[in-house]
Amino acid sequence: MSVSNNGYRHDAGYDRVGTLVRLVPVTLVEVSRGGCRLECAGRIEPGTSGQLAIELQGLMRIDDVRVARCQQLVGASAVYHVGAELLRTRRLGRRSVRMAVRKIISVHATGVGHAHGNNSELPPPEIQGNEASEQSVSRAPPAGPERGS
Amino acid sequence: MLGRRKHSRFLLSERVEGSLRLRDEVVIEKWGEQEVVVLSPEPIRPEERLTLEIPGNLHLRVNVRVSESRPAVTDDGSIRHRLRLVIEGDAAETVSI
Repeated sequence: MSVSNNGYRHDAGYDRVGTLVRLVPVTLVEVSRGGCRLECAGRIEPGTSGQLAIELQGLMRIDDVRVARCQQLVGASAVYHVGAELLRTRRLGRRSVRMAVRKIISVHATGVGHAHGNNSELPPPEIQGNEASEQSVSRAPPAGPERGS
Repeated sequence: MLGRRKHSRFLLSERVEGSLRLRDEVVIEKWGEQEVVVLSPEPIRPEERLTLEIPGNLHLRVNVRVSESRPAVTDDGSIRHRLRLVIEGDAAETVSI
């Protein structure tokens, strides 16, 4: 591949494959140990993988995710609910989303709140209630054995 | 398995803003001074701003804006989206990897 003065022009024989990177603003609305639910303004194809970056308590948390489902919110013009699986491709550190999620869940489970643990390790944002979305009947997991034959 | 719920979920009372960085592999059809035409597996809305990364010894990163997005059928019959990307800025960023 050769590049001209402006850095763009490619002669014959250049590598014809590239990667398009786009940054989609999202809102984190729900978490679990295995994933999270996000809201965004556009559709994201299920199966798409990406990098989730959120700022919690002044610390940027990053983890790789894979989109499991994407549904447009009924009655909303351009709001999509995205179910994303948190992938274990990075080390579980204090800057990982998974660590932040674990803290959210553990604090909620113990009910200790902000006094729990090391203060330098973020206290999580307040949470509303356990399994609040379990009432969402339409997306409940199927009952019965894992796999019928 | 995708779509199976294994863990309890917790609704955040305070929403947290963030960003999702998505990557799509594209085939470059045409590369000009001002614009690039690529075949993408996904459609992208016009006016959306993206970064096009070119792998290789000289790893290039170019800021682009989508000016047109049309469905296209490739030679093997698969459906792709032909994106016309306007190059923004004066020079591409070269990243050593």
